[in-house]
Amino acid sequence: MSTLAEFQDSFRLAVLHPDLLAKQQYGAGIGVYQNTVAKGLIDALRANYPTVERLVGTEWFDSVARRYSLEQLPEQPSLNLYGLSFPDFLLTIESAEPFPYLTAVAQLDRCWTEVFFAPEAPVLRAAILQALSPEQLQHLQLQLHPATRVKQVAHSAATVWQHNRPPALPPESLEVTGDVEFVLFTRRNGAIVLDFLSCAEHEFLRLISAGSSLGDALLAVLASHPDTGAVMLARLISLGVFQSCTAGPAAES
Amino acid sequence: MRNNRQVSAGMSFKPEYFEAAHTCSADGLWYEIHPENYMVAGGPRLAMLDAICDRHPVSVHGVGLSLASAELPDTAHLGRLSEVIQRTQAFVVSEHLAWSVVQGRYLPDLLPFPRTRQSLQCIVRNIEFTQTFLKRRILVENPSLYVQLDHDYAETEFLHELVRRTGCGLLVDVNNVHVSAHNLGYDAQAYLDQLPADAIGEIHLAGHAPDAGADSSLLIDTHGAPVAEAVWSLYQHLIDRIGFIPTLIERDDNLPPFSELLQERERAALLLQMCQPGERRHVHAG
Repeated sequence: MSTLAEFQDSFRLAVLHPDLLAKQQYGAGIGVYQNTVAKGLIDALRANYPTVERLVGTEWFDSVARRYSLEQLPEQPSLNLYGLSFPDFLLTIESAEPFPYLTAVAQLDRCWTEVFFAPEAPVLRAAILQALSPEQLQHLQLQLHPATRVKQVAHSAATVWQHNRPPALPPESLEVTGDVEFVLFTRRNGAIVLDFLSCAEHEFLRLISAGSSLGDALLAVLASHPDTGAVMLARLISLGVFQSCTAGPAAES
Repeated sequence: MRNNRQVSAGMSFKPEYFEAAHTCSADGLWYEIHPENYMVAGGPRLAMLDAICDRHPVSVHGVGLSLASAELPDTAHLGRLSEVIQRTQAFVVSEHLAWSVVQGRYLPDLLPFPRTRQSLQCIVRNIEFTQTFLKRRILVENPSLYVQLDHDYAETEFLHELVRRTGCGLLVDVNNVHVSAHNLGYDAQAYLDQLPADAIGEIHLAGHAPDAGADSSLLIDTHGAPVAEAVWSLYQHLIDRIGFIPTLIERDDNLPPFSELLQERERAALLLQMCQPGERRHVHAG
């Protein structure tokens, strides 16, 4: 008789790769396990990429999700964040070519999920910055809130995403420019919110998340976008982009 | 307050039910959650769980520990499980007599294994490891089965051994007994009569469905339908013997309105109420 480990190796193959041999060995009942495992994996991806499913249809989605899940079995039983590499996987699917925005839409679904499950942290309020001296502000290292995601996408993918993300009803028609778009995801009062960003705001947040001080990031953005400044910072703070900081005693929340 | 409340019949908690579940004040009501759904860093789902736990006793029913793996349980997963248990102040923690992890990869199902001397040793080791890690006793649930394997032990014998060697308790899923007995050809009532009454800490009732396959006569444990009358009869038979045990109406799929599930839950609560007082076990939350 085989050991438990040997049995599990062999049963795993029978479950993942349905064939006549598996049915001969275990009877019709093996189909129950095969179907349950396949459905569990596909449903986990469906939960995390609902806009992709909406755009390509359930049949196409299920078939691609099945292929992905066989290549990338979960490494842990909590499937809340399963499918990290699914957006990139879509790039390898030939039949996805009519949907040039699909990977970007999948990346936006991913942002939504990550923001939904991100840790709690206090949000930076404008009053904290108002209490700082000009020099403190200049050297301040702002941090994005853990539930903030900033994204640049091509093919108007954010507009496509916004109009198709369930439970939104799909539009009868949607005119898009095909432009590059900049977006921000935040969690406000328990809801996940998408805001469109200007090119300057996106550049500013990119510099901040790369470690630039507030002063350096503002100077760099002003050089390429002279019409931005304090108004931009005030808007981003009001959107809850930053985590509360502790630059000095005056900055304690 | 919740720590002193007696639990009788409970229901699966689903986010879709949040509003009704949160405000429901039925006597003895409790909710069961799958901890894997709450193994996240933060956000609205944990806030919802906290709100439920503030008003109701909660039990934690894992599906991913893979107690019947040849490998030891994953300590990272156990750590996350422990966090959910702490967060919910779970009055009972349970897992399945099944496996789902092999070579570090997770298959989302509760898979069968041959009940051999060697698998008994592995599972005893895994239950002991889990109970030591969590610093508490767990309940182990009988699986629903669909394939015949080459066993050395009957399932009830195997469960007896687990209880005797690890001190774990049992979660008896009456629907699983019914489904497995049908699929593998044994007597469900005789199975229930062979279980060690003193070890039983929780009962599950759920719905099943016939397999859609044309050449199949299997019953499938779908958790997607009301509890069948045959399962209610087995339940009555079981509690006539073992007395009052917290009982869950388990529903994971094809969710009906909350009020419908509550009615099934009331039926179980009524049957529990009619257990002989002398048989009543005082199981408290907390």
